[in-house]
Amino acid sequence: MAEEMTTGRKGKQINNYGKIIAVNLKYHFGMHLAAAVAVFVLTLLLFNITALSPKAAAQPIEFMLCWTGMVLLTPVFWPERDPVIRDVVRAKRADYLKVCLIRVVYSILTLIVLNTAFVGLMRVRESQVSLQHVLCAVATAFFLGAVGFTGSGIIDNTVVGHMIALMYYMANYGLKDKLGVFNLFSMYMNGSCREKWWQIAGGIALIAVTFVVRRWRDTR
Amino acid sequence: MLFVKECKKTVFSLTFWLYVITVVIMYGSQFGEVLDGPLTPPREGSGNYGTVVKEEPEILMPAAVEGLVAEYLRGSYIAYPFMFYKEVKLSADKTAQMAGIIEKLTGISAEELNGFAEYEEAGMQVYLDENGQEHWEYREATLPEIHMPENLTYERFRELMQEADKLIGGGSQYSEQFLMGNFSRIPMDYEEALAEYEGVVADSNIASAYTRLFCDYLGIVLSVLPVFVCVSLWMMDRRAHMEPLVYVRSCSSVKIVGTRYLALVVCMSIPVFLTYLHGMWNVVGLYPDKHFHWGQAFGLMALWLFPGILIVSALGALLSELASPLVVIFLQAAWWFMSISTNRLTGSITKWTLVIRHNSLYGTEVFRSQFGNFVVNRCAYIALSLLCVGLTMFLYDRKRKGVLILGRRNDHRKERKANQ
Amino acid sequence: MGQMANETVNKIEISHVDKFYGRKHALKDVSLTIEQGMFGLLGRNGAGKTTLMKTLATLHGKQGGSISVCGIPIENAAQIREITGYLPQDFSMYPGMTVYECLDYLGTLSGMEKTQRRERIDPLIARVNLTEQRGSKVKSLSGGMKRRLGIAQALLHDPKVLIVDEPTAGLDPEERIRFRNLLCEVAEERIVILSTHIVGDIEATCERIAIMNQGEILWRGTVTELIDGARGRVFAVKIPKELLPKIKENYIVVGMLKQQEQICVRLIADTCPDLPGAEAAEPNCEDAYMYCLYRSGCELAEQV
Repeated sequence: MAEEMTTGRKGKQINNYGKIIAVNLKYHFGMHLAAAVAVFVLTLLLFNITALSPKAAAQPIEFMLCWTGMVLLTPVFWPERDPVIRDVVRAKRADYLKVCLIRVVYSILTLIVLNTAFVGLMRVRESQVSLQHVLCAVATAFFLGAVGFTGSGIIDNTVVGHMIALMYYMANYGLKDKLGVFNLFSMYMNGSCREKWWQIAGGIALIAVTFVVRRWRDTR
Repeated sequence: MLFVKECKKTVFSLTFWLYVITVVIMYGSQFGEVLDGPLTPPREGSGNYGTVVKEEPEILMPAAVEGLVAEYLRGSYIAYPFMFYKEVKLSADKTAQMAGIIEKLTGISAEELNGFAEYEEAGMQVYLDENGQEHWEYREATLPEIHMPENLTYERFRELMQEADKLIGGGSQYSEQFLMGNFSRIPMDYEEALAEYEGVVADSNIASAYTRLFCDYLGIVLSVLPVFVCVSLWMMDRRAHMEPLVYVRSCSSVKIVGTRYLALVVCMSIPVFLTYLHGMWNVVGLYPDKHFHWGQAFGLMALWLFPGILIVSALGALLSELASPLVVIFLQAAWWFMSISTNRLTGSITKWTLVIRHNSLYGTEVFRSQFGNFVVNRCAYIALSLLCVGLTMFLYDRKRKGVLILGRRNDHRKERKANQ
Repeated sequence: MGQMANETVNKIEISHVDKFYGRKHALKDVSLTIEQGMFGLLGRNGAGKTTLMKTLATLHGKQGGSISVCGIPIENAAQIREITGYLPQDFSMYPGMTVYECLDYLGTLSGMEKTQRRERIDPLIARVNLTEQRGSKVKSLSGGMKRRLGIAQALLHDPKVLIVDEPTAGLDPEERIRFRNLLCEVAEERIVILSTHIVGDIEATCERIAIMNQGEILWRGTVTELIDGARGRVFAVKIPKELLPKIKENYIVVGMLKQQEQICVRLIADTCPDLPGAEAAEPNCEDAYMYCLYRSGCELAEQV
């Protein structure tokens, strides 16, 4: 009986998560997805993706495709920018931060799909790309997105989040080596993929810190 | 006074301070490097004095034609349509047209060209010396013997190069933009290098040379970040549900929008102006004996940088009245990226370049040769900014009068239909 | 034992609660017991009503004291939210959603199953008189409609406790009466906490009330007790127009009615004022509220 109840509860939760995902995708994702697709298309238009060497192939990925992360992850808190709406949503049983986490997860999945598709397209066009390039694309976009996410989450302002992400992107042009393993253009500059693991770890840490800060602020 | 209040709103916004920080970091980290010491004259006998681009048809024509033939035989063409490397492969039809151009340039027919079997790509080649040691050396491409027709004039050559560039899709090595730089670059001798140095440090040029570099760095920031400050200020009313309260005041839309815009531009210009003063103060310290032409330099800085702030803010304001702030930011960031990608570090000022680059203390002549474009460009952006501000005033006024209710009109229509 | 448990289950117990915003002491040692039915929180703007409401809705933490809602400690936010409905001041929702979709989504966030949501949403929409607007987007609703949507979303998961913050501010009289009636109906089976600075709302709906000022509870009890406390402290007197400034200087004037060259003034005083024709008047809730503030030493705004 107890087992039945647990299963029932789980089923209900799964249904509800499904609904939460569906509604969020329908109302709060379209614009950001369109922006990410626009970045994808712009990268195709601006850069050569045909017959590139492994190092040259990192250029479109690291210089422009990484914006997919910025446009997908930075606006996670955007739908509840009005504090009244946020209060209504937060007063419900479902944890608001879990809803945000769901948005983060599907944004990351979209980012993975787009970046993998781009690298796949490069492969079709006979560029010498490998799984390392997929990692490079996803990690760069994820880290840049996480920077924007943290900015918007902690300062509670999505415009500022985008600004911080873009400032960080610009810093990569000027500061280069000073950013160490968090240099977004590391694969193009050094031909190495090692930094990308750091960027993934850094991105996860930034997102985690943002959630911790938001939780702390909510319970204060 | 409304202007002071709008200035206060701008200055107390977080985006403004992030903008200030970026301006200061950009100035310190990039321009700061040239303030370490004065320019030094070339040392005689050092052997390497750099290169200079000179329009010498005897050098340019054979080099460019060889390059084109090599790319034709390789089957792909290097292009930089947006500064980034792109390799272009032509269709059969376009390849035939390209062969026609080469025939006009070299007299070699398409059949001869296509039948040239000895072609080998340029690249590094390994060879073994008598000790069996591996050595690498650069090998030129193996090409058919090229004799340019005697009746081929320089003008006709330039026309054919443009045709070739058009076939490739623009941004190729044969484009107006890259042709000279790629194929007509010759090493400078000591006298030329010294003349260039003396040209830069001359009383009439030195302030402008440093101003150009300052503007080059700051222009990158000023072509995108003002949109954030602008959007924040424009969103402030909406966020605080203040719009209806402002709408019903007696103050005219022209005054509200105009004052807000002016406050934005003035506030964002102040850090630029201060960093410029600081920079030039340091430049004076580097060259204590020089008499700087400040009027000319300041005018150049103002004409270079302020139109950037003006247009980005004006467009930000206009689009903020029409669309979501995130859309406004995305469009501006995309425009900035495309502009910065299409420009070379020096010498590519067109009439519509948003981010004007001149990343060198030298190259006075190159800059002067494009000064016409520069002035037209900046004046066009000032005019466009005024147009955008005028449009913003109009839209704001429509909204105030309830004529334009973006995003709600359809819902009301649907509702009315449903009620009928 | 079972009875004791039942008593706790239908109560909100607030004990010595403190809350700070930075240095500002927003709630000072607040203690209250709220039982089933309508409970009114009355106070001026900035008195701390919204802070207390948000704390009860688990949107804010607290720095001291304890709160239990129907026996559940406030720290257990998920459980509290399951049994609580909250309508904030100036309710708003995602502008692009329709009324139905909005309720459906918020019901999902409240953990309701699909069948439950289907069963409850349409009757609730009808109950708050939004049937015609069922498919309209939130951004096209009027202020009153939005407020009705707000109460619908707060009631959707059939909460034991309903927290409504300034629900009638900005509504027209007809809408306000309808809203108050609706609240009274739903209060028959649950705890409804209503915060307002409009005394008329409290008088018409609540039996028990608390008055807050500067984060403190000044008074608690029934509306009748509040009015009784003001009996003999409210006076009416007809005075010449010229005398009005002096009267305002010396008394708390709670009402004025111009009658030709004279003004009929309603004022608060500890003893009958030494004015010709002054006589004790029957206090209403508003007089009693003003008297309560006056008696507690609150600085009352200079009267116009």
